[in-house]
This record gives sequence, C-alpha cells and structure tokens, in this order.
Amino acid sequence: MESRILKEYKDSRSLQSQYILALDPISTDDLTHWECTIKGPLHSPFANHTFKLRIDIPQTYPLTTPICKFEPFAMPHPNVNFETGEICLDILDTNWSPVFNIQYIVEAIVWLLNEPNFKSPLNLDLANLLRFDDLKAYHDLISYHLNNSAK
Amino acid sequence: MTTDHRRLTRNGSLVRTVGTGVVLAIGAGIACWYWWRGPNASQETNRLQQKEEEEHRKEREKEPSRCVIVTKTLSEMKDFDWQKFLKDDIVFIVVPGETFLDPSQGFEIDPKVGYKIIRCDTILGVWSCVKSLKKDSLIVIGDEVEGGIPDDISNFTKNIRDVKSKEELLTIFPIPF
Amino acid sequence: MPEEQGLKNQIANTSNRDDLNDRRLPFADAASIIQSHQKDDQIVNLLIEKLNNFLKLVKGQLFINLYPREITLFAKMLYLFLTTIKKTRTLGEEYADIFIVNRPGTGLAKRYQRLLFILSYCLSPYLFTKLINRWNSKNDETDENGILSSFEDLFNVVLDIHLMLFYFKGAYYDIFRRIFGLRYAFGHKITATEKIFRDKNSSTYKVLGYILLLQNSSKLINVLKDKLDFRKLSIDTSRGEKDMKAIFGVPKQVKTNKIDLNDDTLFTFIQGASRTCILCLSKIVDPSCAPCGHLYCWDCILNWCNEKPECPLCRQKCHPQQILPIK
Repeated sequence: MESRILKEYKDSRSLQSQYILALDPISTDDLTHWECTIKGPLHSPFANHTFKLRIDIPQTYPLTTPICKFEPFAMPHPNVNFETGEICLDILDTNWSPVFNIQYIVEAIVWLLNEPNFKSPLNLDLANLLRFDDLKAYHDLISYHLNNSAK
Repeated sequence: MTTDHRRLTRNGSLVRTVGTGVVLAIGAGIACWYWWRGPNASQETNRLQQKEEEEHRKEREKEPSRCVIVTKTLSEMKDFDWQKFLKDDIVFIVVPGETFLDPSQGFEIDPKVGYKIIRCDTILGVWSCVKSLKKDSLIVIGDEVEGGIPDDISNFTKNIRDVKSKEELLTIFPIPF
Repeated sequence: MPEEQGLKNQIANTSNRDDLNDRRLPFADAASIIQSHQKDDQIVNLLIEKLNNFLKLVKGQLFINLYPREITLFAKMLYLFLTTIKKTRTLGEEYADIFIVNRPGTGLAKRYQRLLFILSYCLSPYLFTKLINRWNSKNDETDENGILSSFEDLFNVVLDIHLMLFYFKGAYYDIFRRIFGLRYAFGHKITATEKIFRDKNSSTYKVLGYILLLQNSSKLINVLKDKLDFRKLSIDTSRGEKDMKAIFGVPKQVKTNKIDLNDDTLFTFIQGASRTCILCLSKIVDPSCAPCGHLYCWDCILNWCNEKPECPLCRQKCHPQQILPIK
C-alpha cells in the first residue's frame, strides 16, 4: 500500500488536467490525507466556481475505497450531502475496483457534477428538481447556494 | 609588566562580567515587560472581538432571512423598486408563467445580487426550492399559488406569512422615501 | 571500559608465561556468541527507530521511505564505530561476557582488523545488492544463462558452509570475522560445572549444523539432477523442429518462489505496460492470471478477490481458486 501511494504521489506531481487545479497531500510526511481543488465543469451550474475535496486514504487502500468529501455547506448537488459534504458515487461504494486511483476518483467526481443522478440522492430537494425536470430552478437554486456560501 | 598584564586581565574580566550582566538584565526586563503586557493586550482584543460578534448577532436578529414567492400580484408591481430589497438576505422564487425583474423587460440587475432570484418551471420545483433554502420566514400570497401551500412546508420554515392583499404586502415591503 | 584494560593485562601476563595454554582465557562457544548478536541486533534496531524519529522531524517521512537501507547501514556503522573501534565491548558482548581476541587468542584484535571488519561487514552486503541491481538494469537481455544468479547461488552456498562450520566449531559467527581473524573469548574463567553445561549446549548447535548439512546436500543432489535433465532436454530439442525454440526460450523457474518481472529476462512474452501490476503499480511479482486473462501480482489479485470475487479491470467473475499463477 505504501509503495502504491508513493507512486501515485510521484505521478500526481506531473498531473495536468483541465478540471483538477490541485491535487496534493496535506503534508508530504503523511500521504494518507489529500486535498484537491477542482473546477466546476463548463456548461454546468458549477462553472466558474472552484471546490475543495478532502480525500482520506485508508490503511487497506487499494482494497477499500478512499473516503472523499466536499467541504461542508459548499456543494449543492443532488448526490452530495450539503451539510457534511459526503458524496454518493457508485465507484466510491459498491462498484469500487482497486484499479482506480486517486486521480481517477477526482475525475469521476468532476464528471458527477455534470451528470447528477437523482436516483441516489443525498440532497433531496435538488434531486426532486431534476425528477420534476425543472432545470431552470435546478440551475438557479445551485447558483443561489454557490453565491450565498461564497459570501 | 606583569602587574599591567594582571590589571588588564582583571579589567577584561570585569568588563565581561558587567557586559553579560547588562545583557541579561535587559533580556529579563524585555521578557518581563512582554509577560506583563501580553495578557492585557490580548484581553483587550478579545473584548473587542466579543463586542463585534454581539453586534453581528444583533444585526442578524434584527433582519431575519426571507423567502418570497413571486406570484401574479408581485409580478404585476413592475414600478415597485424591488432591487432595493435584493441587498437584504432575501430570495425571490418566481412561479411558472410569471416574470420578475426580467432582463428581457429592460431591467438591469446588479450581478452581485442577481442570483437571489430563482425562476421555476414547475410549482413542485418552487416548493423544493423553499425546502432547500430553509429561510426564517416565507412570504407568499397563498391564494395565487396553484394547489395552495403544502402542509409540510412548516417543517422547513419557522414563520409562514400568508399574505391576503396588496396592502398587507406593502407593510412588509415599505415604499422607500 | 576499564575492565577491558584489565583483561588485556591478564592476557599480556599470561602470554609471558610458559604455561600459556592453561592460563589463556577460553574461547567463547556458539551459544553465547549468538546471544550477544541477538542483543546487539535489538539495540541496533532501537537505534534505527530513534534515528528514524529524528529524521522524520528533520527531513520528513518521504526521506525515510526512500532511504531505509541507508539509514539502517548508518545506524549499524555508528553502533560498531562507537564500540568495537574504540576497543570497548558492545552491549551484547558485555551481556554475554565475551570480548574480541585475535586468531590464536593471545591478545586483543588490532584496531585495523576491527576497522576492516566493520567496513566489510556493513558495506559489502549493501554494495553487493547495489551492484546486482545496476547489473540487472544495464544488462537487459544479455544475461541469458544467469551468470549472476549462479554467482548468487555460489555466494549463498559459501555462506551456508560457513554457518555450518560455525555450528560445529563455534568459532567465527560471520564470514568477515573469519577473514579478519576476530574471535571471541570469555571474559571469565570457566568452572567445571559451567563447562559441562556449555558443552551440552554446543552439542545442540551441532545438531543444527547436521540439519544444515543435510539440507545443502539435498539441494546439491537436486542441482545435479537438473543438470542431467537439462542435457537430455537439449538433446531432445535439437532433434525436434525449429518451433521448439520458442518454448525453449521460456526461462526455467528460479529456485525461489518469487518471479519478479523487474528482471527483464523473465517472461519476455509479457511486454511493455503489461509487466506492471495495475494494483500495486510496480513490476509484477509472481505473475498470475485471472480467468479473463488479465495479469496481476499473485498477492495483489488474491487479496482483492478475497474482498470481492471479480477482475478489477473487466469485472468478470474471478474466484480466488480460479487465479492461475504463471510459471
């Protein structure tokens, strides 16, 4: 586990991605806690905003999934718990495979921002807006939360 | 020569002793001063911070956050200066079919506060927004909303003000002089 | 330590006498030498731990992860320089009450002997592995018949024989002590009862020596057998078609269980990125195949399939018992 995470760290030094602005361990002494800054994807309500992700690598990684969270009260998204920042994503749960690495997870989360899934909601109200197909309200409500918490 | 030498060394050692003494004394003095000064200063800043926080709290208490559902009556008050209220902690949720400070009708809204208007395509969407926003009070003309106010809304907003007339509305949003 | 000085005098005195043999301090036996080594190992490990804690503060965890061998080396050298070079005893030697003497046991070992011993004892294994690694990375596919591996084999055999000698005679615990003539002697006279007790002990070590002898001779027989088979096989292939060459190119299994694809001569039919295990991101060790054909390290894929019986890459069913190690 130690050597794999070390390799991922080395790979992350040369990481270049459109939406991952930063992907660093909080301290180089301890590669089990990472912080990541992502950019909201274009053409989504999250465009022009940046988000911080916290990634904790368990001792059993890669056999078990890393724990990923957004900052509390910062991410209005149907599959993110607004109060805690917890993320509901299949590959972070039952569909985990040890082939996935930290960068892949972050990319999947960016992709989730663009492709919310109202069938497994952690934010009921936003998921309902999608279910009612009220995209205008969906965009405006997200934009309200983003701007309101930014203040 | 030997006496000179001895005097010199004695002088030298004297100078050294006095020198170290002075340095130590100054050091101790500075340390004491900081020690005496330090807690007082931090106490003062603490008190100031507490005051500030109290003021903030009072301010917040003075002005509870509001969620306004824009229905026919509000939508028709085109000459009313709604923009003045956009500075407050307020959200306008526009029901389907109505317009409110719409840029297409020539309104220019400060982009810093423009996000406080949420436009909906469905009435269910309106209530989802209200639930998500969890504001202190909800201002709505219940009679103009299709289907009325759902019962469970009271679980999400402390204070529901069901407005019955335009006059009552004007007491909530007083015309500025 | 002053007692060392006393011992020296004692030895000096005795060497002046005629009845040298009677007054000379007895050589240490295998049991106490091993005892002292175990104690020293404990202390060196403690030293390494302290050193790691210190380095963690100064240079960070990454440094420790990158240079574990160097840190161990440094700690070992530090310990021996502070004890053996200064002609004082290590804590382990004190514990077992033994000290280093020269080959005939007539005096303390010279300082240059000690220095040479420490340098070779600490540095040579380190340099040896470094050399092997460099050799491996340089000679990608030239090392066909495994000159290096046979050299390694030889080295291991020499070490085994040496250990065997130690168990029988109880003289030199490691090969560098033998080369530079550093023997151990007891720091005290041995009474009759203690002698009986120690003789009994050394006889158990002799049993160990016999076991080792048995093991090595059986290995030797195996090697000889392999050689004979190999000759037969080569006769067969020369008779067969040209296509047989492809099969003949597959290297035979190495003596240990580990098949490390860091060695580019192994399994040349696995090429490029396939040689890297996607689970640990290192070169595959003991390549193993899931039913769908994807390759992983044996340990990596087995651990995952115990967690969830599917191939990490294509999610096909893959129970642990379906994993095939490639040999």
